[in-house]
Amino acid sequence: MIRLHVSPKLCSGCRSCEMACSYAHAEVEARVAGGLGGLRPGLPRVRVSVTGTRAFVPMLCFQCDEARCIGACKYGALERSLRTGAIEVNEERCTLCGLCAAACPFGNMELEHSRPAMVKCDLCRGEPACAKFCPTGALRGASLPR
Amino acid sequence: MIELRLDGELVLASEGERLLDVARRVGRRIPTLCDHPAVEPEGACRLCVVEVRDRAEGPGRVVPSCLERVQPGLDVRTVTQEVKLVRQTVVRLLLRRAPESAALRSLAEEVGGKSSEAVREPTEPAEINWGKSSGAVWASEENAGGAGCVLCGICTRLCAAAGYDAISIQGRGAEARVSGPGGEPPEACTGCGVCARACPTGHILLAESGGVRRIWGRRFEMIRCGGCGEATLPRELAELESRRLGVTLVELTHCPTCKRRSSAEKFGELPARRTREGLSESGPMKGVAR
Ligand code: SF4
Ligand code: SF4
Ligand code: SF4
Ligand code: SF4
Ligand code: FES
Repeated sequence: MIRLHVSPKLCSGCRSCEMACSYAHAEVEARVAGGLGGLRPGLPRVRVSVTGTRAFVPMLCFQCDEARCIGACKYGALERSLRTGAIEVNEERCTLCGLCAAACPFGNMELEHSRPAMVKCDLCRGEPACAKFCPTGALRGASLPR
Repeated sequence: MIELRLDGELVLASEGERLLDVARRVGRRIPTLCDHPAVEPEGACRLCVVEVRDRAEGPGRVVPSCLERVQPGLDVRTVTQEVKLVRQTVVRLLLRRAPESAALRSLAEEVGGKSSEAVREPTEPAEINWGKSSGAVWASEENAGGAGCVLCGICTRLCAAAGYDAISIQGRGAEARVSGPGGEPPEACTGCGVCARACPTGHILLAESGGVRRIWGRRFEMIRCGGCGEATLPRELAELESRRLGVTLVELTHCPTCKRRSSAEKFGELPARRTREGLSESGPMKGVAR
């Protein structure tokens, strides 16, 4: 089980986490006619939100114990990984209906228009990139026994 | 584990696995039109056929690989003269129904038997679902619709799986088409758009503008996000799902960005002591969602 500890008070708003997340979910694009192809960064699954009092809050999926998104999906496209505890999107089953994103109370699930695909934090399948790159310790990863 | 033979190679499969999934797992390309991972296979298009023999020497049977399950000792061939012929015939017939469909055209080019090597060495098709059907063809807001229906039944099965059951295949033979009961616009349709996005030929028109979505001859008012005004869900869909999920309509139709903003306000104000130590062990939102 992986846990990500979020401490908004420590966040400096540098957005290194967003960048790290984007690249952790980048896809290699095929060479297309007339173009070069290359690396296409993904939509960041963590977003630093700025509050009314100018505080920074990194927002990402809480992997809720009783997750609304899982209950919302009618196609069995959301499954919790037993290894990491993260709720993962099965893109083959997903119909992009958007109900999971609508049901999430926190806005931590979103449609990546360019692919298109429904995306959310998957705890990087066990090695949270955001925590690795967070310079202040506002995001810290921890591995817990099951 | 079950041992079988695939194009002469020994492969291992698990109990109950479909031949289609086994073949793809070991790198074979099997064209499909009516298969969708989120719903039960129906064997409607017969594009996915393979030839099987119970013994290496026995007579061959041509079966849809999306329906056929593995059996010990089965001898499966994915490229034979028979298989090629069936696929070509299928595509030719389907092209009559959906001549405009880009997906079908590229498929026709591929199985179309330009040379006998065409099937053996397939080129990358542009838009067909080679093992990743959902979302492979995105019927977008600009989807013109009307490319032609091949009666794959993906739309009707997905709609039924969602519990709406608004559309079905009506009529037979050349007259067959998908619509609401009695050929009328489907009353039970919620405007979710899942059918249009999943349709492999791009036949289903989904148009959205000025806060109105049109599909299957019906018009759906889009509810706008209470924060920014972006159109989120059709009212009918949102009201139905709001009751099912026990989530207020307002919350359900706020966009992710606005929801993130308002939750950040809450989390930003959490007491410093708790936040410094990290939010509680099992996540701050333990049990929040009912
Ligand atoms: S968008 Fe995909 S994952 Fe989300 S509820 Fe719909 S089918 Fe399930
Ligand atoms: S754990 Fe990985 S997926 Fe989740 S927010 Fe961090 S970088 Fe993104
Ligand atoms: S848009 Fe209507 S017909 Fe299509 S899947 Fe949704 S409810 Fe069914
Ligand atoms: S409208 Fe599209 S998804 Fe529905 S049966 Fe016809 S081809 Fe298949
Ligand atoms: S995919 Fe198997 S019959 Fe259509």
